[in-house]
Amino acid sequence: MSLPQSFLEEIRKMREAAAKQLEAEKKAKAKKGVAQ
Amino acid sequence: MTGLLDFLPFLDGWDYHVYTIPYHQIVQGNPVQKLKVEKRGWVMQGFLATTDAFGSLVYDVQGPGGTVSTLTVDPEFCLNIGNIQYDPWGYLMMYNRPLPASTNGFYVVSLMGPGYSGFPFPFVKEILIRTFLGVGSTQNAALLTAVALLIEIKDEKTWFKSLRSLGILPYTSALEALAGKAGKAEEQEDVSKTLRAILEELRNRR
Repeated sequence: MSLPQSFLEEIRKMREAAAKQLEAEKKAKAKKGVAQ
Repeated sequence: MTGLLDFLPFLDGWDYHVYTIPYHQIVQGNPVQKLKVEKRGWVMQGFLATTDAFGSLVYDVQGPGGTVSTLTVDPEFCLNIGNIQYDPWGYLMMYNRPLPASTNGFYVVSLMGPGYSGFPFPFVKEILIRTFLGVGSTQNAALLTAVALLIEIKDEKTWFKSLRSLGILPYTSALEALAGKAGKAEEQEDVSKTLRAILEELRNRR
């Protein structure tokens, strides 16, 4: 089975974006905890 | 069993087309259209990668009668029906959900994988691909990317001509002449004319 390179590239970018989003959420939660 | 698809390497007028749908944000609500192909052909393969277990892909395929059939797939659905091992229809390839209370993770679904036991899915005139986030999701938004490998009939005239050249489609004019449908009544009795038509078709065949 072979996949087009463009799709693999999109997956890579998507995973990076998802990781960043998760990191931001974690930071926001931590900040909220400090504020409380 | 030999089917039409086995003759594709000898036919003309078709082409592969790989469509990659760039990753984008999906939200709950109505599916958003991401791809529209106005051709005839087959869906040979598709993949869906998403960051939510309810990230959904919708195929709207039109049949010859104009009826549009909607096929929806998401990773959670595949898991629920036990569609987790290789299947020509498609299957769940990856289900990475670190927190059971959250639908966040990384998921990959294969659709209509080709091969010996492939599942080429025909469509007529039009195929739409839409995406949305299913109602079971614990997230407000997620990301999704997809790829669709289609076999499209680019030039119908060339396609039918090549089908005839392989003898898959009959030589209509010769057959009609044999059946006495060609020309006027007096021509129907003219055997030489019928024979000439058949000979001409045979000559074109080469």
